[in-house]
Amino acid sequence: MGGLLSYFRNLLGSREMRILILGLDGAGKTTILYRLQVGEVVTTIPTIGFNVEQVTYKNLKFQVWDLGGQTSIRPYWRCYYSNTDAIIYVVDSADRDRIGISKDELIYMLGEDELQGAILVVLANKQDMAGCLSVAEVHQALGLDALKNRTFQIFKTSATKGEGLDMAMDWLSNALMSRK
Amino acid sequence: MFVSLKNKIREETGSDVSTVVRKAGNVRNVGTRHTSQTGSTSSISGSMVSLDGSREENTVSPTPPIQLKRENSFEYKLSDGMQLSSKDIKRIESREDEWRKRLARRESELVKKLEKKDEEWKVRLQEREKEWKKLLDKQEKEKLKLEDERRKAEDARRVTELALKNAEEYKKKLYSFQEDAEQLEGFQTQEMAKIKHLLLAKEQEVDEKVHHLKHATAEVESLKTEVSRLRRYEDELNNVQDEMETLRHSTQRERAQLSSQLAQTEEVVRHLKDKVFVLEQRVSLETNDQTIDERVADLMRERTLLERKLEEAHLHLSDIKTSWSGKISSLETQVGRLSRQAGEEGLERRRVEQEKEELHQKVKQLEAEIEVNKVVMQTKDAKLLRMAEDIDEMATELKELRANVDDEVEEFKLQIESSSKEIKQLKKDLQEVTSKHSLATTELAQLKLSLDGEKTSNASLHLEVARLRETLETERTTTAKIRITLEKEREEKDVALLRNAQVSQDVEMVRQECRQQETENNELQSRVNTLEKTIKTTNTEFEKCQTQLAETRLRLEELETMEHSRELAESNEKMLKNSILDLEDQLSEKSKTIKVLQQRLADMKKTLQRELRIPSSSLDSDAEPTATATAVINPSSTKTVTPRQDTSREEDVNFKYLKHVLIKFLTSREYEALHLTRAVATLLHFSPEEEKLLQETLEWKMSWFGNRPNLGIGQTAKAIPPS
Repeated sequence: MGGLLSYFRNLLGSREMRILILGLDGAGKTTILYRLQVGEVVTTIPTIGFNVEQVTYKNLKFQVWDLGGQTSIRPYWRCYYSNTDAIIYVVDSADRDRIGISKDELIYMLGEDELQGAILVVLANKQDMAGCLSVAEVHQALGLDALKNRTFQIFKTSATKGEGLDMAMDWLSNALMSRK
Repeated sequence: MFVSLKNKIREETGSDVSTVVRKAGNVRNVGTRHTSQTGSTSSISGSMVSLDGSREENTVSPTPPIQLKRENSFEYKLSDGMQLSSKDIKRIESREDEWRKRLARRESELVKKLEKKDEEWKVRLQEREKEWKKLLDKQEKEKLKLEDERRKAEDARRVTELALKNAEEYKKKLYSFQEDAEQLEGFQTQEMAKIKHLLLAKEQEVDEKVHHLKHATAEVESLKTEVSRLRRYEDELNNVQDEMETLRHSTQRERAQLSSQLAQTEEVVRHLKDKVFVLEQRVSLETNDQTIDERVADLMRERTLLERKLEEAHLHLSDIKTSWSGKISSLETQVGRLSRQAGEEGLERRRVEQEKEELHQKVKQLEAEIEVNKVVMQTKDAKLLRMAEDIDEMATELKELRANVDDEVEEFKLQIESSSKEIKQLKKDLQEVTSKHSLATTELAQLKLSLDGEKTSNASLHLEVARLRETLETERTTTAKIRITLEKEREEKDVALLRNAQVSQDVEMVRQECRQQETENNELQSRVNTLEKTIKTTNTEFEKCQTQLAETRLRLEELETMEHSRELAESNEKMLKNSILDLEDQLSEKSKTIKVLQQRLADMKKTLQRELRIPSSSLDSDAEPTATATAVINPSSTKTVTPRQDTSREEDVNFKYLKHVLIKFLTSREYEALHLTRAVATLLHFSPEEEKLLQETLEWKMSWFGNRPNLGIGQTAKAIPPS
């Protein structure tokens, strides 16, 4: 029945965009997801598994998958890559120690064949924290300069304060619409 | 007869019969002279008769000459007796000669007449024969006509027979139609009864509803009255409560004012006392002469005292403040209580309002019901009105009928009056008729008198008639002879007729026989036809039967072959079943052994893991990087799979992840689950075939059509076979 409904939805043309939120554990992926969906900051626990929510932004429907970022379950990200329209990669700007690991994961992820057409949005999260890296620093640390053949953009955000998320979603929705 | 005779006599003699008779008498008297006057009347009559006969001989029979002769002889004898002279004899002889001549003449005339008569009779016979022939022809023609008519009648009879058959068929149809009609009537009556029953039930329901409505209206009215009563009480209660509250407030306020006034007065008194005390001290000091130092000391003392007082006043003030705060708190509590009370009241009021609304709604519902019932009542009233109108119409019709009856009665009365008038007229007529009758009776009497006269004349006439009758009898004798001849002729004719009738009867008999034979022939022909038909049908049936027999033989052969094959198949089946049972037994044994082996393998794995965990934990305590070197090889590890740092923790995380994903996979719809197939396959180390199978199954579940993917058969089956 559900399949039937979705089939009809596909026929009507308003296909849901499939978006993955990735990043290291504790980067704030789940908080961002629920901030986007509900508009509020909710208390979260470490995600062992994934969360899927439907987010409507400016009459666009997104099916947003928030995958757990713990080290042992990071390998399973690749199971969700198929048919993905965009990736929101969340980085903890205050975690200077693990930014390197984050970079490695990002590079490895972007190397996947199934994600060659996906739009990338990098969120330098936790900008409200003291002593955090700036956007330019994060840009440099992730080695985004080397990225080619990829529509991407980096935003500074604070999920708890709700800053920068709207801008990022604006850009993402525009990019998705224009790509269509 | 008499008239003709008279006419003939008149022609012969030129005078009437009676006159002739008289003349004859006179002549004789003159001629004979000797004849006695005393001769009997009979002799006279006889002579008269003879004379008449001689006169008549000219016209009729050959007998008169004999009579004449007799007369002559009679007269001769008479003359013999008187001794006749020669002259007389000569005269007599001459007379005789004359008579003879006359006789001869008569004879010749008679012969001529006879010949004429014969010729006439012959002519008549010929005519009769012609007439008979004509009659015969006519009868033959009639016969032909009758035959034609008979044929026509036969044709008509056939037509009528056909018509009769049709009529019988129609009759049967009519019977069937009548039966149908009766059945329909029965159904109609049944349905009518049902409808009546339903109608009665509906009427009962309506009555019940009317009762309910009455009850409801009564309840509504009682509730309304209660509501009105309660409203009055509510208002009163509110007023009383308000008054009470205002009174309480005023009393409290007054009490507070009074207490505050009392405290003020007390304070003023105390202040004044203190002042009095200070002033008394000062006065007591001033009365004594003292030094400045003492004064200063006094002043100092005073100051200290005043300061103390000030402090006291401060304390007092603080006390007051505390008391004030206590009061404030108490007031706040009071306010809180009041607000609570107000809330409770508000709740009560809301409840009451809700009840009121409910009651209003009930009232509305009941009003709606009342309206509905009113509508029903209106419809009923309309029905009643219609019925009343019908009754009025009936009454008008009855009146009309009565008026008609009255009109008829009046008409009848008029008729009676007219009839009575007629009766009167008739009575008048009757009287007139009676008067006429009396006149007629008088006339009748006159007529009777004339009749008597007539009768007398009639008697004389009767005598003449008798005479005439005698002449008539002679005539009858002649006619009798002629009749005899005529009868003979008739007999001959009758014989001929009889023969003709016999012939015709024979013909008819023959015809009847012919008809019977024809009918028999027809019957036989029809029988022959029917028999031929039956023979044909039987032949066809026989042929059919033969064909069927051949077919059945073929079928029998086929069935026999089928049975053979079936027996063979059964034997094969038994063999196969036995082999299947053997194989199943083997399979179950093997599966048991496999299970045992699997259990053993699981035990081995567990022991191996336990053994592996012990060194890894010991290594973890030392250092993490070294653990990477000695880490257990993860079979599903990709490039980014980090080595196991803490196996127990990691396993826990992995297991949780697996559980989470599996739960999501199982609970989500097919469309969402499709995205999770990869994850599940990776987590459970599916082979590519198994993953494909899972994906295909999900797609099959989503699609409307399409076949179920091949999930294997038997032990290797990947799914439960559909029940």
